[in-house]
Amino acid sequence: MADPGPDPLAEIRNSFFVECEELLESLQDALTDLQAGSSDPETINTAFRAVHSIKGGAGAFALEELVGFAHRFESVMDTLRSGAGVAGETDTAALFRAADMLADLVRAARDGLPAPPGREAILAELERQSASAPPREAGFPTGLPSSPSERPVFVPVKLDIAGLAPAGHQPDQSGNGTGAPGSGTAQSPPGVWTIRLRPHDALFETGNDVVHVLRVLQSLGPSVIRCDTSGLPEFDDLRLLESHLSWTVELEGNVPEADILDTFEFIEGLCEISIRSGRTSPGAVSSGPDQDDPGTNPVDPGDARDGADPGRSGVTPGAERPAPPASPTITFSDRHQSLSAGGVSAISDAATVRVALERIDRLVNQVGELVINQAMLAQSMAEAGIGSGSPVAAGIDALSVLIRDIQDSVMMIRAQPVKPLFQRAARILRESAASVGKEIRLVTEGEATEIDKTVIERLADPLTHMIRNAVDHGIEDAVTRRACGKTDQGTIRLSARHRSGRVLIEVADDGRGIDRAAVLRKAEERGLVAADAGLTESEIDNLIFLPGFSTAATVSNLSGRGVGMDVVRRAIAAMGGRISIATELGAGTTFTISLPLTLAVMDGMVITAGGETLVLPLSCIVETAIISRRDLAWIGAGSVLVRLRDAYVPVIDLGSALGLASPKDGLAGATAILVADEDGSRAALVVDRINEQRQIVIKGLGGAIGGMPGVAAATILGDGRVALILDPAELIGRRTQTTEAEALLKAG
Amino acid sequence: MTLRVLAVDDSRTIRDLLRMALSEAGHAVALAEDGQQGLNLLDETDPDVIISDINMPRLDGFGFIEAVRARDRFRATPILILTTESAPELKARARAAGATGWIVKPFDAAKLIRAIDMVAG
Amino acid sequence: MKSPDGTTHRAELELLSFRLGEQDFCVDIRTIREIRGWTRATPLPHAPPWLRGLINLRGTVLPVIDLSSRLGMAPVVPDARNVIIVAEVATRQTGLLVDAVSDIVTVSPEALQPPPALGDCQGAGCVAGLAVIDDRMLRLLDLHAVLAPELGVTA
Repeated sequence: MADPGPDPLAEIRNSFFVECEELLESLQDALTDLQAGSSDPETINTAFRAVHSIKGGAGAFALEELVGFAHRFESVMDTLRSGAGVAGETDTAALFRAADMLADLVRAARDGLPAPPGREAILAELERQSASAPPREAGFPTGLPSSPSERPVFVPVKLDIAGLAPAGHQPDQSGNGTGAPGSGTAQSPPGVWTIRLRPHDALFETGNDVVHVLRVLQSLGPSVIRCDTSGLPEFDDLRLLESHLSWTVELEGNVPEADILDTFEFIEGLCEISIRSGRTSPGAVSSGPDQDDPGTNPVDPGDARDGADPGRSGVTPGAERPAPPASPTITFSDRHQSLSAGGVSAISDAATVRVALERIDRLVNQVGELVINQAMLAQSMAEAGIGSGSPVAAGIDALSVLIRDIQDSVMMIRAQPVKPLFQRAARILRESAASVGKEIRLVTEGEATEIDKTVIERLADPLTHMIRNAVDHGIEDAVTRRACGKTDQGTIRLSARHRSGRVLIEVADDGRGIDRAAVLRKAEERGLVAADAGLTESEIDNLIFLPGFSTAATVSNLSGRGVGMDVVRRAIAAMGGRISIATELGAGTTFTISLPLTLAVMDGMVITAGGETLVLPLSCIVETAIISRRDLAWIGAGSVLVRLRDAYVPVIDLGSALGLASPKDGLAGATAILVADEDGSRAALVVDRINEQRQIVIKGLGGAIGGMPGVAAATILGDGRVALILDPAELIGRRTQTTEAEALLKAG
Repeated sequence: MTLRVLAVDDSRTIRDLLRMALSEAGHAVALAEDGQQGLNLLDETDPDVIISDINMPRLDGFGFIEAVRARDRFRATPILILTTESAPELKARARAAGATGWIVKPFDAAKLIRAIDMVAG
Repeated sequence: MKSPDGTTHRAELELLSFRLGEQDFCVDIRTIREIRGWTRATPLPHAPPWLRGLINLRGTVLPVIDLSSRLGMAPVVPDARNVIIVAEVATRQTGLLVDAVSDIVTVSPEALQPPPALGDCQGAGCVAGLAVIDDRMLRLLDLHAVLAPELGVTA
């Protein structure tokens, strides 16, 4: 146990916990199907197997609390699958709670933490519910024939141990008729056992072979084995699956009785066995042959199989089985390797490999370095005056295409389905709905949608918060719902889908919707917006993302921990994502999160503004233009608009907006980039110049600095310098907020 | 003596443990994750011993054992079942299907190797 | 008892000392990852004045703090002679822009004097103690406190 260095068992232990997560996931799926009314017996079987497998693995690592819980959980599920069934939502609620507890136990075991409390209550409730179901035949679960007569006969045979048998014990129960038992006991040397063995025909039907038993007996101590061939019929009468031989083993060396008994574990009931203390008298093996009979000569167990093994003819040993290949081990190992390399899923549609995440991350980083190096090379070439028509330039172009493909492939490795995220959300929903006493159904769509693993991880907290919000503030209580003509049960819809290189995640509820008047009033009370700001509906909706805003009249214990939607928005913005809201009073609210597929690369436009090199995500750029004087328009003193594509959009002098330079003197003739955010809000960003369009390796700002408004992340350019990646949506929003602040200032 | 062992279990952890213990004992191991896959691998792997779980998707242990026994070539191949409880009823049913013996989980390497010794070697 | 770094049996502190303007400072050497020359940092918009910007540290983006400005002194006007001390606090690396690195000194904890009450001036909470070595007073910085706003610890 304390062996340092690579420990294969520790590796398997780690992999066990990974498997547990998969099993917990399929358990959740099965329970969700049950809840939805699935009557497919395979559904409950799947759930049973998941718990059973967790128990099995936990047993191997002596995780007693996990084993104990899983065992009782499994038993209940066993009862259910034997026919009691699951009667809808009430039953599944208890099952879900048990599944959640099982998940907690798994994680506690994994992290070496104490097992969470409350297990007994959950199990008791579960068992109470299943106890009201008709009891099932005790014993093994999978549809065992219930009538005893249908069951295969297996009556454990008491072993006849003369020397040890208590008084009154009927010694000859095995019925081998070998004469007076125990007669030789007294005069035999101590520590000698005489064991007699006569297989029934049935022994061979189970693949058992006396030879192995004899060999194990032999390994226990010095022994003499005799084979009695007297029962052997004439060759012509010989039948393959009939047993004709019996054996006698004299075993010395003070072998404990239990060890001998263990040897017969598998063939108990399949043969006549007698075990006596002491040496047998010659000729007592059976009534037939005497000691000189060739049939009773001491035999090597290796010879014994010839007469008894039904897989062989008895005449030409081993002839039926093809000779093993010259190097069977290697052939076999190869097979084994190809199996395990394929995640032991040779039959599955897609073979998988498990790889340590850090290896992938290293690869991602290296590919990132490759992209940067390629950019540096291209830059040096440009500086050296190598023209684009040269073979070198063509080679570089080909290289960049290749690198891009590699990058896409690497990113695909990191992509994972959002399903675990959704399952976590489902649990949050169950727990929070239960705690506020609301009945809420979760509908999920697009669980198979894949996003970068890191995005999934960082999405967990915002999503949790949004689900709690929807449960707390979105969905009304049953009474209110009924009064509105809605069903008692509320619905929260969680969906994921890909759209034009991004992932959209929606959290939609069919609750009360956002009361804009109330939001506005609250925002005014808090001084977040001027009384006469004249905000549009969309602008009012977006007020809930402002720091410190909360619409909850009473701060509920669930989502009201001083964290609001502003935190959600910031977390999502830190991933290069955006969140938008659509709401209708009385009908519900939909939050849409738009995220990049990966946090590692993106297509960007490299620009210069305020003397600094900056990057704009290509995805938000609508077009670029040179501002013409006649397209400019002013509103009051501060706000400048420019007409682009027949619409006036606000102008943002990027260098000055970012505080990098003083405002430009004149905007006419300046280069502008028209950007749009998810809501369709647009702005024209005035820049010094546009440099190039290329792939950008995204580097995190390292947490806290991510709070910088308008800055999404950073990258390293071809010259080795760090350049900031901007978030245009934030820039547009910031301008709006600044305007508000100015308005507020004027009003105050 | 190196034996070719075909181990069938739907739990990856159990498969890993089996592989580790069997490989350490010098046996060659092939793994399958359910009865159906086990059957598909029979001819290719030509096992000396088969170890099989009972509760598995697609084709459970009983069905798997019966199917193995129906093949002449594997009529006498030792088959050990893996079971968590040593329920007599389970063993009886497995034996009726043609199982040779059983290994009670949780198993350690010694227990596993001993069970194999009792049916093959 | 061995100290966490396992190098010494007595709880002696190894300190990296450096200069900021006319003052001597030091930090626990175990928090230091490397020392590198000054390169221009990419400025961050609307950043506090002491947050100098970002530099490329072998492929990762490293925020650089003007320690002088952070402690309420005049901002450094960096040139090629300035150095960046790369420190790791709370698993995050940060660059500290200083004038020059002086020395590595060893002091026993008893030789450390608690910082005098400095009132509410900027950077007051950043000094964890004072050590006098060869008539020089070294101000021992508490990097957690120095980096607190940058780490987002205080809010």
